Amino acid sequence: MTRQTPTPNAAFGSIDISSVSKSYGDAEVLSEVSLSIPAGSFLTLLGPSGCGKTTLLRLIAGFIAPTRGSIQIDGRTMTQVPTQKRPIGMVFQNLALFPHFSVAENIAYGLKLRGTSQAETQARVAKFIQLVGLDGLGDRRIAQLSGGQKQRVALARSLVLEPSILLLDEPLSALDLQLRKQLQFALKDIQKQLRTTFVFVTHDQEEATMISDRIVVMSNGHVQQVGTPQEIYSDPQNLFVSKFIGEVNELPGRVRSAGQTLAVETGAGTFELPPGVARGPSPAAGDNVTICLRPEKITMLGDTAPAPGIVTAQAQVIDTLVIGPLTRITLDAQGTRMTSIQMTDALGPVTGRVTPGATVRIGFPADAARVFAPLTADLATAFGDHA
Amino acid sequence: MNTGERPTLAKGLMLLPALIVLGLFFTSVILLFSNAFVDRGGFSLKYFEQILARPDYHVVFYRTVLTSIIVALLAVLLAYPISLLLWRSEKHRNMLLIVVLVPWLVSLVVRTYGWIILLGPKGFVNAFLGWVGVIDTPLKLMFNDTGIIIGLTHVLIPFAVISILASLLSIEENLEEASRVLGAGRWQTFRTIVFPLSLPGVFTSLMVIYLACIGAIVTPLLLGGITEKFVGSQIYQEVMATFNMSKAAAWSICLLSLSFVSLVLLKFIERRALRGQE
Repeated sequence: MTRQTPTPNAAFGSIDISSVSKSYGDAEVLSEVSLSIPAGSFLTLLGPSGCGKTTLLRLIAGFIAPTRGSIQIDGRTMTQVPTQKRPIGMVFQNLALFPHFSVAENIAYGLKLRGTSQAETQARVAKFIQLVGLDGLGDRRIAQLSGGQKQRVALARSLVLEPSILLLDEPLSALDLQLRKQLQFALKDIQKQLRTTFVFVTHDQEEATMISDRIVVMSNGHVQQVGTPQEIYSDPQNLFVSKFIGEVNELPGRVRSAGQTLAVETGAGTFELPPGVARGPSPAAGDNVTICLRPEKITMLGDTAPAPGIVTAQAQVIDTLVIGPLTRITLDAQGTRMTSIQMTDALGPVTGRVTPGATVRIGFPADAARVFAPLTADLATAFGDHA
Repeated sequence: MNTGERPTLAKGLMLLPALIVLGLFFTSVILLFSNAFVDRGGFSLKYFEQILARPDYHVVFYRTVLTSIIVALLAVLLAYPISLLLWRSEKHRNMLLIVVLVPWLVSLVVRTYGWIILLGPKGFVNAFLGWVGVIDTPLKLMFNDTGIIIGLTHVLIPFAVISILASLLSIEENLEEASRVLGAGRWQTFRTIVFPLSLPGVFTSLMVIYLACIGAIVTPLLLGGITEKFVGSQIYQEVMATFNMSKAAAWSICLLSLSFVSLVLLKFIERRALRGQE
């Protein structure tokens, strides 16, 4: 076998995608995607269905060729390299286990193709059966396994070859929530142990946040933002990312003046913000913009004067909901619906006033807000079901 | 007491057509057996002895089985690439399937006469080969076993295409891609994944075609030689030419047993080949 079997080593497993586009006829499903995936990272391609994330994965696997641009793995251009010669493993959405093989035969398949000796094949199959927690099930037929067990076979079948890169195409989407959580942790564990580069595709932002080191948010064939889950959450670069990840309060408004401060007039009042909170093209007076605020940034203020840097507004409490340590407060600020989420304990001094119907003074740190240009029409369609 | 559901008159009437068909079927089988085993009012194996005593009849059985095996293998061999092509061409699959099935719109007799035109000493095939210069004297393609094999294979290929295609289509998506990611080339993937998973269809078509062949009548009559008889054409002759119903019945029972034995044998082979597959 000519295919190299790299050992798990931080030196192997980097992917560089340069200006890759993919079109089918007139439809461009990926446009000008550039992405650098460091070796040993757990990277998630996240986006709504049809955003091009699976296409990107299939391009890395070599099932399809890019229309323009190139992909490099470990510094080697992959254009002429067929799938079977690439140092990758892949777990498919439908798992694609071989139904005419047993569990052990499925896992041994790749080793046999490489001409691994029988003794070594047996030893490694046994090792990986154990690693994924399938002890004693080696002789089972695929049809006799449960969903979670099949998942583990698919994982072991790929990992036994110790690829430097493992591509995972929504492998957990068919499982129930509990099993899914369990396998998310298992995946992260295995990734840490083997230090294999994982490229994981999902449309579930919570899953992405849970397991990845880095998230690539995609939409309509474009990369919207790349960053750690924390960066993506706290500093989204555009309205799409802000809406797609986590919960957010949106205050549509118009820029009254831009300069030393950015004054934005919204239904809930006019807010003076530092110009640094704007992302994307800098807004000018008269532009339509949206102020985005994470619910945990909106606090209830007492009677004392607000600390410097806190922007305030009046709002009426619509409803409160205590969910264990958190309290969720639904507010109406002059017709704009807002949500605040606070630690239940931290609400102590104002609890009495936060009752449905009461008017409260709310505040948020000016630099915690983000100001974005409105969504372009094609991006807005992704939220059709939210509207 | 009236606990159970009682068959009503309406339900009985709905069963009637099926009962009539079944009744006729069993009557014919009973008549067949009584024709074959009864002679002058008593049980007799006379007609079977007549058949088994004739070495030329043995040849008829022998030829029927051998030809049927050849046709079954040939048809599957020819149908397999067609099935693969249909499987691959998602867009044009239905159109191509119609092309494969079009011969079935033409009656068997007409199609067989078509072959006579093509295969005769002055037919298209010989004329073409002579014109190209491959042959000097016309090949004898008809009124012998070659003619029977060509005719039957042509008639039965669509069966093989359909059942092999059905097997291929039931292969789960991505299995080939999975195999390639694990390091297999296209040919290895075909050999270890696609082909084994298509075997149920291969065996189904072998069985259907083999059974259709050993009972064939029209094609052997029209394309076979006068001396090269098939069991089917022999029965036809006993009924239509010599009016020996008892002997025809005995032939039929022999054919039936032959089919049964072959079926058991093929099932056995299939079971062994597909061991491990559900």
